[in-house]
Amino acid sequence: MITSIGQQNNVILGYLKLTDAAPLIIASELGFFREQQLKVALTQDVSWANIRDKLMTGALDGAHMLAPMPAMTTLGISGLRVPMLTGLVLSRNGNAITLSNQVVQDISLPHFATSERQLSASLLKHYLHGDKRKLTLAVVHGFSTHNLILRRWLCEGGIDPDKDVSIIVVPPSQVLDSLKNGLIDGFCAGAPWGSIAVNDGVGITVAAGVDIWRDAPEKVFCVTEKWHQANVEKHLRLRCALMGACEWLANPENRRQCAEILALPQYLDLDIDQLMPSLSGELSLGAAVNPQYIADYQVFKPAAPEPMLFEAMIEECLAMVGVDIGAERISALAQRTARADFFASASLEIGNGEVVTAQ
Amino acid sequence: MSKNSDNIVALKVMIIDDNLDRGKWVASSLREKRFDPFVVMTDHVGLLREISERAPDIIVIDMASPSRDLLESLAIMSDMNPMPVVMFSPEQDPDYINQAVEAGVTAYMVGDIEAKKVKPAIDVALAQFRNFQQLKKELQETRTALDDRGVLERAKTLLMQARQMSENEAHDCIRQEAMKRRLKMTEVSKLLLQQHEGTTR
Repeated sequence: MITSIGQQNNVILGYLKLTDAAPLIIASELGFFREQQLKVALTQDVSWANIRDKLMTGALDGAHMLAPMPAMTTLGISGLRVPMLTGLVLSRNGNAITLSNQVVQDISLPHFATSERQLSASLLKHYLHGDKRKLTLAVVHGFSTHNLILRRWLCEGGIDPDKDVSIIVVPPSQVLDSLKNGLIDGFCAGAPWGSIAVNDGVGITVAAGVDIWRDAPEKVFCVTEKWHQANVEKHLRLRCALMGACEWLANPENRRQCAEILALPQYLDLDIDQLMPSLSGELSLGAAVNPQYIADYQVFKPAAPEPMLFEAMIEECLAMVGVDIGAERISALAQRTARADFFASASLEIGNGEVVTAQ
Repeated sequence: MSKNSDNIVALKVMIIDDNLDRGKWVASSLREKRFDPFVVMTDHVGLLREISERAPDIIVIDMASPSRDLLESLAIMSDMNPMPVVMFSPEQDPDYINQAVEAGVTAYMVGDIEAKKVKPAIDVALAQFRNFQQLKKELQETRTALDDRGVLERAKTLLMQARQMSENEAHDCIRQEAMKRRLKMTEVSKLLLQQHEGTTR
């Protein structure tokens, strides 16, 4: 039966051209939004800054967003101060550090046995001595898990991310060209950009995000506090629909169909072959020619934004820009922006299939 | 900033646009003494290099350019000179623009670029930017003042403990030393603390 959907159920959601936009795209294509009586229009955007500004002004109702952003925007660290929140973690892991062929060739092959899937950043010390130039590495946004992961990887190898290398921001769609043109020596980005670099023969993936920070919250479903207050019911139904899509995506058997949908020209407009490696977890890493299976490479499983986890992330982001607001404020900020209770309410709604009343 | 023939300091305006004709047109609308406009293409992968080499005073960019994240990171993450940004936006809704500007986006400008709109937008952006920079500067000064006070207090405590002075005596001692050496009291305090660290190490 076709139910008529009123104007008041219209929603506009934004996303960037990334594999982990899948929960939104799948929910739209496979009818998870429709099941919740929602009529959703998806719009692809070009930058996180744009998505954030559009949420702020109401041009978008919600979006998939970098996990640290709701807290950072609520704090106004980028100059804009707009309270935002998330009640749902859409995906975990999925990032990778990819270096140019030249750099990998320079630093190592003897150290990099074919069985190893991670190359240690300590090998980059090679570049810190003599007349070697400083390496330039790119991340896709300052306040992102990509930046945190890259910095952790560097630190573990004894490389000072602030002094020994320079880290710059390059939009995901431009990391490949930048690597090809020698503007950057490597990058940490979400799928599918690492696998495409490997497929195109311009880079070698030296570390997977999952190996550096296991189960890092990656993309969250983000709305403004103001929008949430005015649309409590709609927000709940959006979370339910997206959780359904995430559950569907969690089944490995569905990943092929997911790649087929993401590949469509109106979405990522890429080849299925470019999307499958990260979705199946079978990737070419390091010097290994044959793809190997990496469990949990890209996790889509609905998860609660646990404030404790976000506290650590907020602290790490603030430390990066040298801002200290104190543990108490960090904790309050995490409680305000990472709403595990919203996840619980949506779980309850799905689990019972009907509204639970008191008594 | 560069000086033109009339010795007026002109603002270097970098226009980032993948539509070269439109970019040039915007540049031509800025042909007056206080501006020194030039156009770069958005898909230029060396945008960062371009910015550091040409050091623009203000940037005009299409909102639909992915380079926005890059520009923003320059302002937040690095000590490279932050610069105000004017954006062209396809959004026609005036509320959108107003809200964006109120919320702190330096300045948005509606899609159809008109010469008479470019200059006011740049002026708005500059004003907004100066406000923001002023706030940042004040914050920095407050921090420095707090740091300075901390140094002075620590130096006084040191004197009180090491030489059994009263607080007033310690204060006078630092003040006299500062006058004698033509230094700030905080500078003398720092010297005292360093000296102390040196002898106890």
